[in-house]
Amino acid sequence: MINPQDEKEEAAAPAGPAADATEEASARATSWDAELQRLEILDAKRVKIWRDEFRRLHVLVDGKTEHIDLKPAPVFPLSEAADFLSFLDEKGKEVALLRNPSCLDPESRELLAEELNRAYFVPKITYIYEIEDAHGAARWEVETNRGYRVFDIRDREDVRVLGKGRLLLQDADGNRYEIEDMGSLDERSRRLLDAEV
Amino acid sequence: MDRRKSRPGSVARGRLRVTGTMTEAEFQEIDKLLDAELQQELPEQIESAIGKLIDDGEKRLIALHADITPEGEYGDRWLLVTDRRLARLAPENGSARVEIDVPLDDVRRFRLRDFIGSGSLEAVKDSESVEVVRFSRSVAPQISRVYHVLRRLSPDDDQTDHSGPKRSSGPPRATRCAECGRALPRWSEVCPFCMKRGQLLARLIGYLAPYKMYAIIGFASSIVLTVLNLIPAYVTRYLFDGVLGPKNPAGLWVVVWSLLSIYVVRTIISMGRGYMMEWLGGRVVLDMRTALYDHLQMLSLGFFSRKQTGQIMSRVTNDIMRLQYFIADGLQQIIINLLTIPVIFIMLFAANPKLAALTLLPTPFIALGTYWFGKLIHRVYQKVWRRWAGLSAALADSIPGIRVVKSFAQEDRESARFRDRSGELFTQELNAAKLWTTFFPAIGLITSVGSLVVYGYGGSQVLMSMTTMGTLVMFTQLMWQFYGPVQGLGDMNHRIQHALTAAERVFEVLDTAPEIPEAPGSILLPRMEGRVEFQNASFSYEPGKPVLSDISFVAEAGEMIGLVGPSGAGKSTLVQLLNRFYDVESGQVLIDGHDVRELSLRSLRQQIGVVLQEPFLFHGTVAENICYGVPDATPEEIVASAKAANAHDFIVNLPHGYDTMTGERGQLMSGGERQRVSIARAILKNPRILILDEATSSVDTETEMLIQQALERLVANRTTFAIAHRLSTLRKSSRIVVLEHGRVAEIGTHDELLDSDGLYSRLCKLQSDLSKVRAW
Repeated sequence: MINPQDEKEEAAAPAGPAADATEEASARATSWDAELQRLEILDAKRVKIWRDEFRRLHVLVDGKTEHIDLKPAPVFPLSEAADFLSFLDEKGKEVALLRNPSCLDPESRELLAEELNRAYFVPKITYIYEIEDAHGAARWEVETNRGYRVFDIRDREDVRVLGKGRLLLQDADGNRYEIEDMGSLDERSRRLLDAEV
Repeated sequence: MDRRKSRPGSVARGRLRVTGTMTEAEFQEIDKLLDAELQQELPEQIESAIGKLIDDGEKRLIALHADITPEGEYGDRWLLVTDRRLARLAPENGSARVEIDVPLDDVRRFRLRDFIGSGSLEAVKDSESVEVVRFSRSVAPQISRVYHVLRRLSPDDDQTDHSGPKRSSGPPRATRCAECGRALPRWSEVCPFCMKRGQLLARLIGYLAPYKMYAIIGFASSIVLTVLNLIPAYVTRYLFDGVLGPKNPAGLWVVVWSLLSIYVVRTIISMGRGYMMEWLGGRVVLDMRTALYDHLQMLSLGFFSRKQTGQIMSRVTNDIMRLQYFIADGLQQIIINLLTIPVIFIMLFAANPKLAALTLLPTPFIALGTYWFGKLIHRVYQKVWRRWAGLSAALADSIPGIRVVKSFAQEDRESARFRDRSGELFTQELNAAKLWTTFFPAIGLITSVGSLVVYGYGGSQVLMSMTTMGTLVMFTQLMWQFYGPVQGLGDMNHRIQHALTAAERVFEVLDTAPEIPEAPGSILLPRMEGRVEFQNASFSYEPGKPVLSDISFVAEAGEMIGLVGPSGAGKSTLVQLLNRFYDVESGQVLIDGHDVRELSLRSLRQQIGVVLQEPFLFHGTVAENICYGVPDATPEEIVASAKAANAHDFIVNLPHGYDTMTGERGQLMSGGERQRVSIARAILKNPRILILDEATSSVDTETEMLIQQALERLVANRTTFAIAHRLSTLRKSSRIVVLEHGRVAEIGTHDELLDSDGLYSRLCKLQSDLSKVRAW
């Protein structure tokens, strides 16, 4: 069994002069390629999604294989490194991995958006009315893309800077909120935010 | 799978209810599960809409607010459950609209869907499913309770799976301040919004109480010093008006001698007081640091698993240091300044009211500037501290992980990461510097201009002989002595801010109550038998994600129980309930018939030995590590336990035998050797209950054999819980408990479980395929 971690290191290493590359190394590189090949990511065009009257999500692959009662789970929801979407069955086991869900047919896409709105409810903060801070604990009063909200942050650790001005917050009840880009907020919001990070 | 298919029995039950509302008995049973949390007071408009909706004699069961609309926006919705129906209402133009109205008799079962950040409750009917309500995590605990009530009403639900009304599902939610309703910070019972600065300062000063005498002497000497500092101004006035003016040579010597004696006395008092206050500050901080560390040791494991090591360290070292500076130096300064200001004020007005008023002209500017500056600088310093904490957190993260860093050749990246954080700290420090390097010179300018006013106006008065030369000189001297403390108060303000913030962080830890409290009047079990019983034990680290549910089994005294299951099945968590690293949420863990929560923590843990996968050895000698649990063990006992652990032979081959230093994190010894030292440690403690958490999974086969032998000696006559992935380790177990998804999947002896063809036998087959070498 190949250890993908090691192989990745190998593959990621800067490719030296061709003369240095031994046959063994190239053989291993190929097997890592094979490993990559085996990673089955479904193209959105091969997939149809719909919901039955029992509100269960169906995923049909290539018009043949049908999976029922799935839950969509974004794979890189924060870093958005890739537009991958995983479909999990009731036990949390992945049954399909989808690439570029935005390329789905319109009905599937619309339905998926609605399901994702449920499965991954992380409102984006668009305006900050007030942040009352007392040494890390803070009450935030904000406008989000899902509406007005007041929530309490318990600890500075619950405000996570994800780099590039992106912020993830978790409130005292375990709800999550996101600020996509601190820089693009209005000045007042930015000033209030500035004291928190 | 077709969910519509229902079992015959449930159809009958469903039919029963179709005939009408629930029976009185059923209603009573449900009613017992309800309380104010599920029967909320409703706004008038909703109330009147409900009044119109329900029939006569229909009994209301649940009325609950939810916070997400069906479209996925934040918005108010109300869920109503009666003995006949399920409804969702939405506010609309001062009235309310019934969005959903489902007769309970149509519902086959309910479905609670748990998502990231939200959830939904669905009612499954014969031909379709209805989304009854959507909610955020803030409402999730209440809806979860509703769900458990509703399950009792749904015919298709698996009734055998009832785990009770789940009143306390999930660990306690964020506690909220009783006064303002805000969520309290994690690990704190003090609401930072309701806490008063004065109270904080008073509490800090409270630490001076044991050294009252020193504090009083220090205070008295401050007063003396203040007076001694002011007298020279009077003497100078006399020098000009009584000596130099009237050409009085005798007076000159009086002036010189009196000034000399004042200076000498002042110096002596300053020395004595300075040392004493330094001692006092150091002493108080010593007390606080000790109290803080003692309290840290008392805190439960949960605290340490959530806080970063660097953060905790920073509280014990940095924050406390800041307090020392404040108590030794800051407090003195404040007292002296506060005394000096009014005294000079009076002196100036007594000498020449008009000149005094002019002299004090800049004071309001200084005071206001100080206030504004204090506010700004506090904010900036907060950021500086956060960067400091980030920096030490980065260190605490990368230094222990240095092996991984090196083996992946990521030194450059770690350096870059550290450089970035250092750079951020530098930027923030510069921000702070920008502020104070602007502020203090600006204040200096204001006071200098003030002095010009004194020279100009006072000088002209002297020229017009309206005041004496001596008075003018006294004024200029006193003026600087006045602005000094006023200016100092600006500095003082942020010094207090610094200190209070540090104090707050220290007190926050001190105020954190251990999650695992020792019950008052806890039972001492001097010698436990070792019968362990789990009764419906459930536990979760995060709300809504149960790690263990309904674990029930008995381990008789002396039995060896093997714990098996996929990783994440809850094996380690289960044994941590035993020595109360965590407490069950519901159910019980009993030792010799006593709930572990009633036992004295010390006596409980003293009798439970633990051998972990990664043994932790302290910096010290091998012998010290072996007798860590029994510090007064005799050399014979230490050697005996090392022999029993198969550790003696390698220890005597170490350069200094039992006195060899283990090295930090025990890196001088191999993994197997460290494991055997830790087994010796457990043997010496002679525990009644033994926990082996993957004790042999990280060593080679030969070492495993040595360890196995050692363990077999250790296991004899003790109740043992052994967690293992290598199932061969468990072949001597009396019984094996197989966990899956936090539930007991199978219990039985090795042979029974093999025959039953369940998860265990699957795992066994898998492993024997992987290593044919190991015979079963």
